[in-house]
Amino acid sequence: MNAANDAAVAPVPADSAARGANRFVRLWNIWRRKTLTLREGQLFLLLAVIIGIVSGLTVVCFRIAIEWTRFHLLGSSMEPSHLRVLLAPTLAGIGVALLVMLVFKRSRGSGVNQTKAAVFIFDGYVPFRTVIGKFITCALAIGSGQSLGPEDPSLQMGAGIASALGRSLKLSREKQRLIAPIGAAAGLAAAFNAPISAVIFVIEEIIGTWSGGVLGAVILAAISSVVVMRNFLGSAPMFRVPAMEFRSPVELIGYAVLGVVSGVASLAFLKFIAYFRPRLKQLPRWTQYIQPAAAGLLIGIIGIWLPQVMGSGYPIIDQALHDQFVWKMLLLLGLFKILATGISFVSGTPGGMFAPALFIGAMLGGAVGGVEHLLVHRPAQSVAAFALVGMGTFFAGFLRVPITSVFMVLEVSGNYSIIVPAIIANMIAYFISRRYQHVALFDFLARQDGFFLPSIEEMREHTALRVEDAMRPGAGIVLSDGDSAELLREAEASKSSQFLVWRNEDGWRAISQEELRQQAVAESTGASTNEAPGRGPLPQLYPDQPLDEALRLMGNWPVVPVVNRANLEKLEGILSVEDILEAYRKS
Amino acid sequence: MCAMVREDNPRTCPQCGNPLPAGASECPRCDNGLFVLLHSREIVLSLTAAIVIVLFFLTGFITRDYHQKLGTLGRQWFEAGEQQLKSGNAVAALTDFHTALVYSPDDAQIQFQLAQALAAEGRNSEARAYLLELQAHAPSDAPINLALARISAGAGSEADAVRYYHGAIYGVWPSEAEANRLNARLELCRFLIARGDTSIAEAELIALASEIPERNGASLHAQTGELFLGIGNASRALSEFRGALTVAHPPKDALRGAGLAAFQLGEFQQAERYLDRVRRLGNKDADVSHALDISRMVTSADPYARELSEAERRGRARRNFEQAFGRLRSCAKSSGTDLFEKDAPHSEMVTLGMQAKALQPQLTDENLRRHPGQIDVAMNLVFVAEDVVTKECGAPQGMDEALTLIGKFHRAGER
Repeated sequence: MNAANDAAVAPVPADSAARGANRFVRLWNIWRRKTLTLREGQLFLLLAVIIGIVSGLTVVCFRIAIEWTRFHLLGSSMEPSHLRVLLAPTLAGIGVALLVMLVFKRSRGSGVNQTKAAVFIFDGYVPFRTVIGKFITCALAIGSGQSLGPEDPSLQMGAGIASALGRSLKLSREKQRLIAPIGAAAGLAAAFNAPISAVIFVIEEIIGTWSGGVLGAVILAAISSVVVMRNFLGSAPMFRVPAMEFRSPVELIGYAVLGVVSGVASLAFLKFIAYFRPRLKQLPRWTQYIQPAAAGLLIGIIGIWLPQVMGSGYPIIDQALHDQFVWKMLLLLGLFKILATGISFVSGTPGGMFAPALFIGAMLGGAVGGVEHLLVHRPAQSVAAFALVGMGTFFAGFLRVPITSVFMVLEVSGNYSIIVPAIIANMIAYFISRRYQHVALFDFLARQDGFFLPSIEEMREHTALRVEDAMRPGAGIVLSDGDSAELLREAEASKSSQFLVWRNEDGWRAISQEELRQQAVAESTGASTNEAPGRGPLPQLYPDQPLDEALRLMGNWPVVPVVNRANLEKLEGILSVEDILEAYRKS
Repeated sequence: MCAMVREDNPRTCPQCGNPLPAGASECPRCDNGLFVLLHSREIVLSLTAAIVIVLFFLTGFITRDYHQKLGTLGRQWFEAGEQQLKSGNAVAALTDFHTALVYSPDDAQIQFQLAQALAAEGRNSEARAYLLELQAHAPSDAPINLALARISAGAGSEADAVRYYHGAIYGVWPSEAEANRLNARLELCRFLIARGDTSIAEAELIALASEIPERNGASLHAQTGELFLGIGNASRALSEFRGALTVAHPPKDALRGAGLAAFQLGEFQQAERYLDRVRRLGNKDADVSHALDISRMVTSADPYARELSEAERRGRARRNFEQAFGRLRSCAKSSGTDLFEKDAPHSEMVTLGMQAKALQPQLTDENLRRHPGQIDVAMNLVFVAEDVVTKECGAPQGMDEALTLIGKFHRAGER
């Protein structure tokens, strides 16, 4: 709207001062619109950076809040007194339950499936109240020793921040829907100190497609948040991984065994959650006030014996990476962490599954490595290498994000020689988990909560139909270009009534025998025009084009030619709407 | 911007979505310039930027406090660990060091101390993991390399141990670099000798010997000499012991080492001198006594010694001949062979016996005086006889050993 329009519709102010002020604001608005206004695409990228910064700052504060809570509730010792170990998670559980039930009702769970639901159901809407709720309840829960991690809540907080900013800026619905995953990537990247893994996770698990439009913004946000986080908490990686290298293919046997063990363990963990979570949710409402406390008490009891299973467990992973435990202890820690995390999670305590998954993977990996050291006289790899690969392997089996898990191992270790073992072990674990648990973790969690979200895993494996899958190869009769009489003779020699003609001037055209005949008659009577024969030009399709795109391009044409990309005159086949529908029916 | 109300929905504004006042056809909010200004993207972005700046400072303040707290905790747990270590409670010390590391994960001192404590507890693989990580960050750090070398040496991994020892030798020491480097090389030499890799050990010892400083190097000279002696390089050993003996108060073992080295080198007079002093200092070691006795016998029996009178030289030759001939006869007798029997089976001993019997009458003082070359003939027979008897009847003892040694060094000198 220009200035003249603005002036035309402006109300008349009551007095001259108000009139002057309003005029100034109006002029400012006009100037602003002409000079400052960003296009939506530019704004989106700028917003991605802002989201990254705010998410990074939030995650820094969140991590500090968890640590402060731990200092105050459990003390600074790695082996707190038994009284603290029992009381802290229990009492904090009561507080968390009250907050979740009465104040922050959307703060339950890990946050990943809630973010996914926001993207697919609520147009990217994540209430800012959830961000506050997640911050407080997760800091309290994780800091008190509940066996949960800070990554998934960070992901949801990032999404919440992004959603709030998007709403403030009145983004379009499409952009609003895309902005939540951008915040999610920023939150996860900052929590994990691994921007590549965070980006891949969001693409692999939340968005589901490698859309160029959102990828740039996701990367920008993730990097911004990590830069901010490192500025405040240091650039040291999450784990200090000792030097290791992959020397011989024989070592892969050990890693394959690790893949099997992790696959089975992740399957057991998934089944545990899938079985107990809905059952606990079905219990009377009043029990939900005590479930987190009861979970806290059980974890405290485990913690008296194995304090390592409490909290996110990052220091313990670090110790496992430095061969600080014998294999029996590693196995014990892995199994009890499954139990403790399962109890914490199914009780409805807010918190993430990333850190526990890494913990369990590291412990089981270390245990497998330790057994290998017992069996093999001079094993090629240290236990730490198995612990490192184990982290990714369990992650792949449990969260069903095989690409993220491989990149995570690489990003955490900074060691590319470990990629082959990581890929092999991860794939084995992933396939075992996939074979015996058809629905992935975040999908069944969403379904238990009443949301039927698209399965990214299924989307990933879904094969898109292409023109070549529906076209009729070899069909379609092409007439050589010439005058109408020649074309008619050629057409009459054929049994078909519809033909295609290639003309260098305007491409493919459709023509019937009757049209040819009329045109030939017109030419013979001298009433010929310079018009091209038949109807067209027709849209041309290529065999590799997706069918949905072909459908859009076909318009109202009953049949369109499918041609070779290297030679547009060469007809590969023809395609009709009926062909497309038939192909979809068969798929 | 003024928003005209759409006819299909007269109750809400299509711009902001808020309900419209009854009867109004225009949205009062969207028509208000100030409202539009405050809700413009630019203003929202500017406000967001301002909030971000405030958040930045706030987070900075919180983080500084947090890092201080972590640093304090790390230091406290580290000191607690050191106290536990001093009081001999290694297990508790390890727990404390682990806790300290949680709060100060980048503190190399804590990691190193933890690794040392783990190694002291025999948990070498655990210690190694920490040390390897430290080494990855500081590959030229000599103490880390030395600790790794010790663990590798303990695990019998020679290649790794040598690599890490070299890392310690050529690496950076925080203090007393020269002394630490020499000690590291000395340790490497000991490790190599223990592994039986004497050729590499000898090369390292030669390098070590060349680096020992003139001042305050006596102890190192003595230790190096001892190692040279251990791998059979008596010449360099003697040189090192001599280096050690140049100071006013030489190391106790330097004299003994020098004596034994001189003895191995065939410098019996020097050996006798050194070993005599050792004996007088109260050393009653069997090897010292034996070397001293043999040295004395050699110096008293060697006809090739310098500054001997001709008469003495002849006398020594005749006595040595009788000694060797006697040993030959008794060896033959013990093996049931009569050297002088006509039908005695042909053997080296019998041949030697015949030669000795033939030579014996010629070894009169008068004859030797007139034919001094006969001394060499007699001594050659002595040396051969001692060697043959040693092969037949075992190692020589006493004077026979002395004669064997005289023969060995005399022939070596001739060559």
